[in-house]
Amino acid sequence: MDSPPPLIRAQGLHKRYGSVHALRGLEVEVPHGTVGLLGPNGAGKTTLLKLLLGLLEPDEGTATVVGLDPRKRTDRLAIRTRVGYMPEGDCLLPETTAVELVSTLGRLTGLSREDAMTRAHEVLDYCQLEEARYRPVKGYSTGMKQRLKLAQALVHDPSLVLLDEPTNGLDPKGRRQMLDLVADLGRTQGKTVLLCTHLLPDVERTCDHVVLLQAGTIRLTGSVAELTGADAFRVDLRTRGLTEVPEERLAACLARAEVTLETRGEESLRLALPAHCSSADSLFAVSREAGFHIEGLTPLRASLEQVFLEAVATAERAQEAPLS
Amino acid sequence: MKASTHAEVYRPFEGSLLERPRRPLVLAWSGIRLGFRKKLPAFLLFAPPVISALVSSVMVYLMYSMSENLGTEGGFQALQAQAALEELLGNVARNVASFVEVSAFFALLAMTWFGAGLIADDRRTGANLLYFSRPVTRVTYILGKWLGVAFFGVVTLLAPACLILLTAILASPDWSFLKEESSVILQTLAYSVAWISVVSTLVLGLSSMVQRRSIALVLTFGAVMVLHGLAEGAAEIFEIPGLRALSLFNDFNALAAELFTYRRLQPEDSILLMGLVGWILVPGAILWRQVRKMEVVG
Repeated sequence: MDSPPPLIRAQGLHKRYGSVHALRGLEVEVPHGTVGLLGPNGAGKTTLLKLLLGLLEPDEGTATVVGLDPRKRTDRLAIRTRVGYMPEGDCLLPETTAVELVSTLGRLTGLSREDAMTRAHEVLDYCQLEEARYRPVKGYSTGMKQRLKLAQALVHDPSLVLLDEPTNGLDPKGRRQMLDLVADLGRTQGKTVLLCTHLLPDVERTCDHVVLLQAGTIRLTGSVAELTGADAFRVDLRTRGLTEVPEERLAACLARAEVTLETRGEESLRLALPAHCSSADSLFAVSREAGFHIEGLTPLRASLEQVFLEAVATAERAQEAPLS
Repeated sequence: MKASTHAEVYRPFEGSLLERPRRPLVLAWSGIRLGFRKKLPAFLLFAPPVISALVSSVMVYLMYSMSENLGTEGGFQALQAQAALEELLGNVARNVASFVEVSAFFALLAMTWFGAGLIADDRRTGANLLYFSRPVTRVTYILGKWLGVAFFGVVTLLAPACLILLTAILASPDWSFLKEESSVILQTLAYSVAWISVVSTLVLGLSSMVQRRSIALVLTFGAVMVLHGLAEGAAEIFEIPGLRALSLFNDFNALAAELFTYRRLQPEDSILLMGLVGWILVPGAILWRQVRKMEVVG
């Protein structure tokens, strides 16, 4: 079956603010699902989101969102009815109540008065603001304000939700609540969520795909599972008696168990197990057959942080190479 | 401890979006609702025009009912009584004109108080980002905010004036006010609409330049009062009557003279009427430019 076309596509996007080159020929396709737009501060994440909504105009290049061009007026307005946007800044009027704010924004998107009020209550319930909905926003905690911003982004039930740093300034509990909501939106409610953040664990916890943006260019894209090697089960073994096992015998035993040897130390092995392997039994069989003991076993999974740092380092090396 | 009363689940929206939502009205209503949040300023600003409208309405009613009772058959005495009554209660058309001119100042106070923060607060908090990430254009935004300010002008100026006019229409014998003095109705409406339009644009234009409501308030009163003083002073010093056109009050006095024709039109009145156009064009251009900056969020 063909995969659906990407909801967001950008080609050769450039954006400059005076002498600052925020986006440098950005090329990206954002698939359906929960996608993390990851990058350090100043990488160009917010600029990209604003370009996608037509709040900024690119200097060069094109972008499409749900197949529409944000540079065209009619398309831009159509995009804004289909996309929910949660901005990074506070942007809430302190005197308004949550119900007023969310229903007003719902009506501005095109909901009728009754629908806007019903939806406002529903999304505020969903975002766990049910008890605070009639209180002025000025009395809200940071976590409540963040959840209110999420609620206003969802009031018109958009198919695409753009979240700009949703866990900014949250305590661990607030952060967990927010990430649970983001994960639920993407995985259970079937929405495409573009989560814009500089926090790797947030992406690791909620996203299926990741787009790594640094200095205005895409450094890396792919599924989180692929990037962190989650579908190959790799282990580090601490052994006793491995020094006495000949290379050939070990290789033959590993081949029979369909286990791949990655590295061999004096009394350690790094192995990759086949995808169908569900237990460590085959490893113990190999050790018995080859004639060494297993003293310790550590499953390995590359963290997104390693991948992130590696990609950034590679990019930096590539930039420095022509200079040297 | 929070009681769990229901499951917080996401419910998809089953309905559809309106094809032609009235976005400016939604924005206007949002601003009006915020204005009424504090009851005391609303009471203090709305009470004087409402009270004076009620008093004027009673006077108009008394005038018509008493003059009807005097009749025309009383000869010289009746005419004398009629003249005394007119002196005491005034001419209806003149009453309405004076009421509108005096109430215009209260309308200025109310519109500035409630309207000064409408754009300044959006700028300070960044709420414009929430509006412009919706299908809201610059024109929709400006129109919505403008209607919000204009509402307070309608409540403090137009509605009370209409109340007096309605009393005059209903109290006058054989609808004589409607038949003989219908021009007063149009003149009152024209003056009120002009005042509301100019002040709304001025308040919003200055509100869009700053990020604090208090500064917008000071700016608006400053612009009106300081320019009035400057215009008067400069016109006297340099002996150029046209400089009076810089004052909003002078410009509207000229408009009142033109509309209500209770004083002879002076030669400089045409310049003052041109000044009125400036009072709408300059703040309008500022407003347009500033909102464009807010729409394209850098």
